Amino acid sequence: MKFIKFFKFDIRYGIINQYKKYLLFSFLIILAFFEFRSNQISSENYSFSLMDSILYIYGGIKEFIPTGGETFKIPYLWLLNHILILFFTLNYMHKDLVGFGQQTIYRSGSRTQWWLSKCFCQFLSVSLFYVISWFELTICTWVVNGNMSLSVSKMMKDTTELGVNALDNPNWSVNLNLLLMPFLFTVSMSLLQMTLCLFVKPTVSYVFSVVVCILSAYYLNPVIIGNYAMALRSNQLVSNGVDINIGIICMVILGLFSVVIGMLRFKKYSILTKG
Amino acid sequence: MDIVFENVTKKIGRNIVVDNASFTIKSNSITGLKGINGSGKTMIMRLISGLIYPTSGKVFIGNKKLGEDISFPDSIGIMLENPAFLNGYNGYDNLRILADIKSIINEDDICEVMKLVGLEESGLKKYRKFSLGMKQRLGIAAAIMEKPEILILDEPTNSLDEDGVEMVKKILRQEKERGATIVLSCHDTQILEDLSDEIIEIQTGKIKGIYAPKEKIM
Repeated sequence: MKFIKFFKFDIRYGIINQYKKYLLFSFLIILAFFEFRSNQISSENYSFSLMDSILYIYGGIKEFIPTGGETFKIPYLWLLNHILILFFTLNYMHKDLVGFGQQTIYRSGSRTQWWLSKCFCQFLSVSLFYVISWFELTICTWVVNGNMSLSVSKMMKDTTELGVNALDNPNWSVNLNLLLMPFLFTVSMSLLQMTLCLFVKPTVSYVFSVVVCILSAYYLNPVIIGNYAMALRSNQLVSNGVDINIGIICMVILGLFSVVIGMLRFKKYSILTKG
Repeated sequence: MDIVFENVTKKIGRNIVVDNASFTIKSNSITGLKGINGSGKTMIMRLISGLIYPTSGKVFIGNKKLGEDISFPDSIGIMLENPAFLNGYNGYDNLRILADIKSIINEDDICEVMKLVGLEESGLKKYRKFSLGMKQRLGIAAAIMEKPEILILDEPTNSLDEDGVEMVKKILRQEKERGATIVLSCHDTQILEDLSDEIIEIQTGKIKGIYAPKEKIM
């Protein structure tokens, strides 16, 4: 019962009261969409699809091989999406713990419930960012008379130089790559980040997340978890890509591991600073 | 209920903030913690509150061990230095949000406690517009509103005017009459001695002495 009350409290103060962050994120997604549009129009006049815009933002980049003078092109939209959401969800738990949260936690009588409520709130908060982004891309595509198809267009296929049949028709396995994997990655990283805040300062925890994102973009390596969040690194689209089934397992384990380790740590955690 | 410290040591990083403290705070009494800034008073209050646990030693609330049998004392009101509330809400709403967690008091109780601390009308302002004294009064209100068995007040007279100090004294006496066990810290020795049944003197984390005001017994 107290958990429900905590959760309601967290939804109110950790999500609803943070509406400015969601508004800013919404605005940036619209900018990203128009950046995508302007790039495509300058290439060729064609009917783009909804999935094109999702691939453009969440697809990441193909493997970077530093040979022949090729420079590393940062997948800034993919990177921005993750580091922004991770930034927006970084501080709520910690801020609450050193402020008003101290008044709520001792009234609850349970550290575990307080922690689990924060984890659920974190999950919900990340989910909301993605729902907003998918919803906005759908609306934007519809407004500019794009194709509402869930398959990637030929033009986009050529642009990404994938040249594989997987992109020819609506393919739920590919869509899973584009929709689920980036979401799972951000959720697991945000939970890990929250747990790390119990060991180090939030800034250090955030720097760690950013480094993981950048390393993921630079190296195609199944150990660097961000690779699973890039459709253009998936073994369904490129021959030496990473296996998304392993990715799903890794991310779920990382998320659960973070929740459990955080819970164990928080049971003995010294709640200091003002309150 | 008695609060018992048994050889309690608390380290924060490499610093020993409470050093092998053993004492008993008797039920239904007012115990004053006396010591200079950084002596460890607030840490002792946090240890009683369950916000921190000892590095070694034990803290018992009644016969329950904190950190093992219970995470926090079952019935406790706390006001530690600089109480934090939600800026976008008024005083009443802040108390309502807190009261909703336990759901043991109603709207009338909240109004009553706001009246008691002198925030009956000004409590309708947003918390961000509160003066320091008003913040302090709201902190006291939050601590006492659920009529807790244990009441922890860290520097409750800070930022308060003369009337406010008298109000705190009155509230503390009423709370003791009600049966609460009160732990209090205050820089003003006179106030501390006026109110306390027993004073625990702390220096650099160590208990230097425990005495009843006016007559030193140890």
